[in-house]
Amino acid sequence: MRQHLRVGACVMAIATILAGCCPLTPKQPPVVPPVVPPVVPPVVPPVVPPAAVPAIGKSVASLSAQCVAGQNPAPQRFDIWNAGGGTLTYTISDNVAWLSCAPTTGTCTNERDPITVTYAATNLSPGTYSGVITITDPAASNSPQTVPVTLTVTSAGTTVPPVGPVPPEIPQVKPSPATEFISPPAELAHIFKPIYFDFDRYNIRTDAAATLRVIADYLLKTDTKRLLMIEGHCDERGTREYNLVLGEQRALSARRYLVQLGVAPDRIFTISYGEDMPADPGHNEAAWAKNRRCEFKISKD
Amino acid sequence: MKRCAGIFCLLSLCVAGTVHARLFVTITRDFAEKAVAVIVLTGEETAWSRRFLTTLSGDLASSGYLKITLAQFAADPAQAKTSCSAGELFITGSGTRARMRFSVEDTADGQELWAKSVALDENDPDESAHIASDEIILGLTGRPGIARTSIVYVVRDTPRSFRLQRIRVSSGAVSALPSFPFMVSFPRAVPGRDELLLVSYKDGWPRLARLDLNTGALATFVDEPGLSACATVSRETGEVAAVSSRSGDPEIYLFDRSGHLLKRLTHSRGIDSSPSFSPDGKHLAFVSDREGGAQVFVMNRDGFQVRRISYLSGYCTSPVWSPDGELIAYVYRGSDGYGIAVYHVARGRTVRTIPGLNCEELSWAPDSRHIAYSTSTAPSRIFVVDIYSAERRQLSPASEDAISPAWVF
Repeated sequence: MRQHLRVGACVMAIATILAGCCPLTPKQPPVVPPVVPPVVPPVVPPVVPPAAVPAIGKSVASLSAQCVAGQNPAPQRFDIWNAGGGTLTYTISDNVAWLSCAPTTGTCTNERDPITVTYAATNLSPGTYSGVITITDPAASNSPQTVPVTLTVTSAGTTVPPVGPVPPEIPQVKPSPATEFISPPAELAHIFKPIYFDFDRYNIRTDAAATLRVIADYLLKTDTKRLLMIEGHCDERGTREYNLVLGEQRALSARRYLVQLGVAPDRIFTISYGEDMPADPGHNEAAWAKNRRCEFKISKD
Repeated sequence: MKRCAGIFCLLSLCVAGTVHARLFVTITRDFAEKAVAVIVLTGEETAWSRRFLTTLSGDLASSGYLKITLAQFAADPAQAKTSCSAGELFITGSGTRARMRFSVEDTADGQELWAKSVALDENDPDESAHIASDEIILGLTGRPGIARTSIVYVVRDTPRSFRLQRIRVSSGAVSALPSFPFMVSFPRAVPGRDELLLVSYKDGWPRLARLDLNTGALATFVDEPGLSACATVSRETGEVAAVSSRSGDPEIYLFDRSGHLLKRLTHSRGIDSSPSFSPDGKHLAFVSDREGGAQVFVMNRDGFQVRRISYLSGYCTSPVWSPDGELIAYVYRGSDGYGIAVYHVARGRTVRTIPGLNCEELSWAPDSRHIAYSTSTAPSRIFVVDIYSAERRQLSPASEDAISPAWVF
């Protein structure tokens, strides 16, 4: 530490000399610099910056949604921002009745504006529908920008294979406080089987997809009012806090897949227990493989 | 050189404490080097003063900055100083149980580096020693001492029985905080208030809750659908950044000090987690798997200017920004398990690693030198490690399954 202080002293002293406020050798006469006439800088005309031109930025290239006939898909969201300079003053429009965006106008400088896309599909017959969202700002360098939207309405009572890309985000809803979730009874255990994940992953594996199709089929055809809670779990590897979020993401992956299969998102809830509720207390790969899972609870009658 | 040291000390005493700290910390290259010191108390040797001296010696050694070779009483400090080798620090204390004057002298040149009259707790020699130790460390380094600080952590008694405890870092004395018949974890101190933010399963769902440490009352803090967790509180603004899955994707949001949502900060597909505010509240370190695996990133408070800072391994998590703002510690997975990496913000690179700690859930001490962590295999323990010397000591009792340490200061 003493050496540290001495190093500090040197640095301080050098800094003091450079600052010129307290020379270390005050008895020496100060060095008077020669008198130099001041240099007058030439007059330079002010530089006029080019006008800041806004540009439309958007977080999605396209949107797709699907639902069972008589239902509405979950609302979706994308962001708009100003990818250029100045201020973006945008207007949003669409060309079909089953599609609406909110808000329809706004301004952006440095922030991102969330745009909520809602669907009114309850009166649509099974089929595939197309629409376009148009974002305009006459002052923007890249106006207009469009977001094609594909809506697939399927017949009720059919098993729906995944169609198109997974929706980017499916907002969560709160369950009613009175809703109680229980383990499925023994006669339903073959339907609500746990699904498993690879290490540090949350994508749906082929074996898990098959299980989720069975669950979706049951919820869409047999027990159409039943609510589902998906519990996400992790093995003990990984850090505890990250595992809490990873468990949630696993449950959300399963939820997204079920929604993609036609189950209404407001019937599905997620919860994460991270690594804190292992199915197998062992500390080996066999145990870990059992613990990287989602389990299913259903609402009580 | 000796004269320069004296000038430095005089200047140091003249400037504000923060400036002093900045100068010292900035110019010091190797904190692992410890200064050898001797402590001498003058005055009557009593049970109180013996206890005081023993505790003070332990506190100063635990600070990480000093190696105490001798702690004794002496009627004549000048005589006692002859026992010092040249270059050692000579720490003296004299006065009453209510107030003592402490000084630190560099025996190489006889210069007094620091001196101060300190008010003590005359009824408690241990507390008095903690006070004196923190004053001496602050005077010498410009950084707060840790002798009087505490760590709050969670004890898992059963899978459905959890309790919070507070442990004094210097003495290891444990005091009980509320216990719960449901899972709680990840407590975070709310600066300036006797409150913790933590993840509670009180209502069956993992939500951020606020715990009043005086009353034990637990109230929902973030009332959003889905998971809410991983809180960090800005010391500057009181704002809270936390993870919420309300959108259907775990993202980081900004909340006001009442838990109202202010702004969404991240928009990447996948996991965004574990935010940690810089002390000035202008930046956040966080974890994201946007590039394929869990890595540490930094962004501005508004969510812009995102840049990755961890490249040590394929799994880097749990970033925590040091109280002095200069370092970000994070957990990395190496060939021998989990270790701590220390990223230097100004230098823009990871400057230190402590491998093989089997660690997670990092929490900085106020001195920006020590880190509390829990071990990652059950039963978990709480340890404190000096990031410069890599010296560590277990803090939680061996009988406890202890997780989620949070340094309270």
